[in-house]
Amino acid sequence: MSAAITTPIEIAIIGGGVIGTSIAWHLARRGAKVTLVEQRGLASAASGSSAGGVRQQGRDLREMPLAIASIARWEHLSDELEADIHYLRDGHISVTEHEDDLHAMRETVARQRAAGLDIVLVEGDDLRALVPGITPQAVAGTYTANDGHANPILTTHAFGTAAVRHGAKIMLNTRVTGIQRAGDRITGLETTNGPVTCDWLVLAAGAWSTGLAQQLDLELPIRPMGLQMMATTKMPHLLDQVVGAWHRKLSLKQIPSGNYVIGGGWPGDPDLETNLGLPRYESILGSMDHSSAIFPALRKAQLERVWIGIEAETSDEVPVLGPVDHLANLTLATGFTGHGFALSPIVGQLMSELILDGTPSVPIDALTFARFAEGSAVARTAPRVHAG
Amino acid sequence: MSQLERTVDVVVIGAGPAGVAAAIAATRAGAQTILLDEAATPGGHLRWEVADFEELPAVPAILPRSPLAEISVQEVVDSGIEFLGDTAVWGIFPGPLVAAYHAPSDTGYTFRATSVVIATGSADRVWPVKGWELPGFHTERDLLTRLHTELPPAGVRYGIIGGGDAALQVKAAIAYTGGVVAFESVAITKIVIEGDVRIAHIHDEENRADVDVVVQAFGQRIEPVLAIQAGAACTLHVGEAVPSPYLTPDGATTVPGIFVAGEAAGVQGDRWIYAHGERVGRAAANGAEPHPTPEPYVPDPNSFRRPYFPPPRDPSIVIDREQGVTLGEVQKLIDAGAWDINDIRRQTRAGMGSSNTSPALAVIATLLLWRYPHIEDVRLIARPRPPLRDVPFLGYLPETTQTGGSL
Repeated sequence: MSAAITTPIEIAIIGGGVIGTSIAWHLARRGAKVTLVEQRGLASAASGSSAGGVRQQGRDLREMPLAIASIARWEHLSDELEADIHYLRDGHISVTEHEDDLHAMRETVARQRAAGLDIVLVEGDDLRALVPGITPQAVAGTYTANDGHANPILTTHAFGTAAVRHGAKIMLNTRVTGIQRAGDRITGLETTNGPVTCDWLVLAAGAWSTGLAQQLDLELPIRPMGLQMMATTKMPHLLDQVVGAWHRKLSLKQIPSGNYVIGGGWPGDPDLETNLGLPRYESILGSMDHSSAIFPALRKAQLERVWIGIEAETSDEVPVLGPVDHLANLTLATGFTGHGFALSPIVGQLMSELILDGTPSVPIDALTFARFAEGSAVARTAPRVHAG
Repeated sequence: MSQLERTVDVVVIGAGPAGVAAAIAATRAGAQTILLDEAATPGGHLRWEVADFEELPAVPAILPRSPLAEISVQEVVDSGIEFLGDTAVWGIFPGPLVAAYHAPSDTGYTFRATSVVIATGSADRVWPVKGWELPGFHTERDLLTRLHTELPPAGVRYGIIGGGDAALQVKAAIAYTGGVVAFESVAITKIVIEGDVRIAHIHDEENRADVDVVVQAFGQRIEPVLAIQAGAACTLHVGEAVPSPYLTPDGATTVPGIFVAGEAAGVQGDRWIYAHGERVGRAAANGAEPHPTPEPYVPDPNSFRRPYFPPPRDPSIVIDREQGVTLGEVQKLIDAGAWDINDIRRQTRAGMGSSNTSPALAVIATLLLWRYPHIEDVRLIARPRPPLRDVPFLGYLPETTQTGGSL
């Protein structure tokens, strides 16, 4: 597509999560005419349930370049958005309790450093000095000092508000009931609040993307996944970093109000109809057990809340970004599999570059839909880490 | 200090008249039954009902209890039902599986049951007014409960919001303690409570008084929150702006094995509550059919579902005291187009506290009903999430974790 646009291009975005709103803002501030359609409210699904991790460590190498580029964006994001999004760059550490892991950890550090990540191995007393509350059983951890966390609900709303400031239109409580096509082009949407015409469509509807894509004869290898998060009551400040663990389902952080937020990939049961999820008892008990084993101060904690995020999980656990072959004006930005929040600034930027300039400034070839069409089994290149 | 698992036929939650009746009926029907309550002894709401005036002693001590409470304790003892007091149920999961915490022994309990009877009665109706977050504000039952354990010195000045039986009972209790009713009003939206560190004055458009305590006496509303958390389909209780589960005459919800009995099911009057408890207890023991899952309730567009209370007006009114959320914050979201109570709750944090039953939820439902009279109930009912009570980690940690590491 040509970079010289005289009349503003009309872009429709389906999905008011952190990805859709980021894309809306990046497009709107470059002069595109954006209409975002959201079936409920902003951040009402996965983005509203995210643990808010802003992490590069442990990423699949296919998305590592995006994660690293995104961290650079996070540094100035609050200023750019003119909003407080509670971003704290306090580091991320993934610990082990087993000496046997040290060899594999050194290899992981070497591999991720080669990919450009500033990651180090921290052992023994250094580990305890860095993370005073960590269990004495922990022998080492892989540490990235410039990882951190932010508030996903505030961030999504800040993206949305900034997009509206640049002229974007956001339609809440609006369900897409049909997608209109003329040949290989999408021409508009039918919604519960009237038609929306568009020159371009961005599908950023998370777990709801699969059903929408089917209307475009597109089978996305995405299924809904319920991820459980828990929060404790407020406790004295003890933890700065986000803590993960090898062999444990754990993502632990203490937010500024003093509550601990605990995730790590514990399953819940998603319900797309109601946008609610049912927590599982064994997930609650398991999460309490694993988190307090790694961070013993939690033995004195009280559970305050449990919630389920309805995520879109792809068959190879990395997102689907960019074009599809048979439609000329469709961009996918979905299937983030529980780790899209940290990527949201860069994904917004890259999708806006892809649509307005034709080429994103960071290559996304490994993440396009074509990887499924080739029919090749895509091997994972990093251990599965759940930390939203 | 560790988790205990128990398998029984019937778990009855709440040992008020409905729960006691249900537990006795279930036991007589041959079911192994356990009766749980947050309080140390059975009796439920009977424990804070004021005794009849002719039963009151001439010299005030603490407010005497109705003798009915002692009768229900005796009934439980005589019938040989296993009663576990000081036990707070914080969630019901598929199975059904009841998660509870027993504070005195610091033990987390997991009950696997065939049937669960929720007999959690009612909670005080409370409606946010200007200044209600100040210390010195009480609801009716909250005040009566206190007067059963400790009498304040004579001469305390009270303001009462509300009328009817609830207000009469509060006035009787205040008179017994030698307190003074300095202010009374039913004008909900016009009340203003003022004070610096605690309540000092109250006024409406006509009257003003210096007071030490304000009591809101609006009676009770049903409290079936555990059934809704367990996934029972519900509709909005007419007028109340609080959810009410669909129930068969046997008290069965749409979730197999989950029953609701007594006040929590909307039954009123101790005799009827007891009778309903008996019927539901028998049904639970015999494994009655669940309520068929209804089509999502869509209100008749010609009917205007006016809620019990008008929505508060002053945007500075705090509608959730625990989370510190004001009416204005919610109103702003609704003005911006939000119309799903779960989205509003998530964004404002109103009603996010551990009890999941903040009056803020009824206020939000009322605001939405006022604005969209024909809104579907699915937009108005906040799905409560566990835990519904405090859950200390320590009660649930396996031994291996407790011996590993140190604090």
